[in-house]
Amino acid sequence: MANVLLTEKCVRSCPYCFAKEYMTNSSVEEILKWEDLIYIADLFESSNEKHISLLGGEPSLHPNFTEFILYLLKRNFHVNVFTSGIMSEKILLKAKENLRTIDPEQLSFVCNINNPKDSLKNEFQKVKKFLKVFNKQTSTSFNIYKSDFDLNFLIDIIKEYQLKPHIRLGLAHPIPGANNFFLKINEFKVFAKRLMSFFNNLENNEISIGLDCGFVMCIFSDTQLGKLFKLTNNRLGFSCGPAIDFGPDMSVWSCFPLSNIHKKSIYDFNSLKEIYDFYFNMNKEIRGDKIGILKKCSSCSFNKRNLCAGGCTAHLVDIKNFIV
Amino acid sequence: MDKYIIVSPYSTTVIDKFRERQFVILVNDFDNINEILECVNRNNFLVSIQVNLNSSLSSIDFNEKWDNVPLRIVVSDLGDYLTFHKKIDLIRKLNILFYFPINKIDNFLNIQILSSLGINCGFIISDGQLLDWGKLSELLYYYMYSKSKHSIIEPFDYIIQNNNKNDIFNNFVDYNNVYFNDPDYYIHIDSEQNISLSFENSKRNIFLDIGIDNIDSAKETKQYKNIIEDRHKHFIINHPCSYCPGWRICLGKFSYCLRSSNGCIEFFTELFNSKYILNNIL
Repeated sequence: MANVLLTEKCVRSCPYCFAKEYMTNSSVEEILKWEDLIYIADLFESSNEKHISLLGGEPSLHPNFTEFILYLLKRNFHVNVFTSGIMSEKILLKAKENLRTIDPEQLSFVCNINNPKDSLKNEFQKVKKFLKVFNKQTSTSFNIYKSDFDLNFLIDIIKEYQLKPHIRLGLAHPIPGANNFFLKINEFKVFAKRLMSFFNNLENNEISIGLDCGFVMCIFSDTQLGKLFKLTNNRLGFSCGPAIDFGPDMSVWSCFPLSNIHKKSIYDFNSLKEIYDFYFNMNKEIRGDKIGILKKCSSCSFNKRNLCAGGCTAHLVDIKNFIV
Repeated sequence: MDKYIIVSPYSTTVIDKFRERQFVILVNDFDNINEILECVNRNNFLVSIQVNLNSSLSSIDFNEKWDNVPLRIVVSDLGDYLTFHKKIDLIRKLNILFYFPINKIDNFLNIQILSSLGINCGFIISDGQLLDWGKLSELLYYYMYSKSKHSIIEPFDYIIQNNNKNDIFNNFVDYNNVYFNDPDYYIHIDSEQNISLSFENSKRNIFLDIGIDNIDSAKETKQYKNIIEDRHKHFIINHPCSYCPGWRICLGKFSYCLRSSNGCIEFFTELFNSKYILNNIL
């Protein structure tokens, strides 16, 4: 499922933001035009892709946020929106009036929630309003950028607002050439232990998790992997591949951490498969003879069997070699 | 020759004078849609009802009872998208083609939105209008080369579909046909039973002196011959239109634009080439 950025404006300034480098180098005034949305929808349709993820910045800041979603739904796409949930009263009301009753199978939200302890009070109040309105369509997302993270607050929120019982866990990755917070390789083991400490609470509340790209298999013990197997509903993966993001200026790149490497125009490609193949090969080229982020990756049988990609490519990049 | 299709306002007097004729009925509202269908089809055949509105598409109260009525609706623009969105499912069930005037720049996008949503549509060019040929070219590229299926956009669809495949270079097409304004196929009768060969002639009170019982003799009249001669006037005076490949499509309708730019030449030549490619290669 590829991602379409509606706007580059964001209402937050998260320390780990992996889109930061992209945002810094882009014009915040850039928003996706109607004509370009139609072009992208045509490209997806002709590539037999029926899922579109909308993100930003904060996608709801796009003046046609609600209209774009409705348009895509009318073209029979399943739309998934990545949002902070922080919206003005006006935007939330418009979204509520037009989107609330849509079948969650057609429209879903992934609300990225930071720990309220690390957020402004006013910010979290707005998130709560969003969750109250769109609880049936919303699952949560949490980005990990330090090893002493907390998930219990998220479990409480899921229960309180009766959200979809699922947490997408993202790892904050290094952005080549930028200074963002991210989880260092030597913190991975501590992170794994910390994650498993929430196992009972997650399992007791029947909340599943999904690991985003860039996790490494060997940071978990076999026992932990067994528990993760259950927590992820048998969808446990340790991949690192092109996510495919489309910018509002119709540029395309592999994923946010690699957004300043080999950025191309959408018009350079004829299908999503062409785009995916291009960035898949580019990732291989970037990795070169570096198999993974750990020394032992080079002799790892799980890597050879494609069970683990050996972490995020962004850890391996010498940015000077690849900026174009 | 085939019989003329009659274009007229809704007048039972006019309609009842004919038998087994094809009719296009012109109205300005939706008050009598089903009544018109019944009235025309009693002894004749309804080709279409053209509803000329000065309002937005989103403001129309569509009626599911119109499902058997071929409608052409001329709207000013799309209006509020969210209101329109609630009506899409019903619109898709009806037999409607929407026309947008492209003197409003937003209507280029509105046409693309509708077409991509599977709703037939088209554009109308006002007399003497200076066109944004770049925008028109973008719409043509969308119509011709978009990656996904979409609904027709008139008059592109008519232009592409109607040709003599054996002799495309010596064949021309009058796209005014889609506006019921082609003197080879349509004849106009107003409520006072005046007969003319086009909307323009009707407005300017240029009527045929042939009587309502003889409308099929219109091609023998001087007015008809004048229209045909008018098409060829550019060749007599060695006008730039006379050596433009696009003339086979525009028939010199935009010769007034040549004073300011060559945009029409580039656009209609591109359109002609697209027509050639689509009909001979694909």
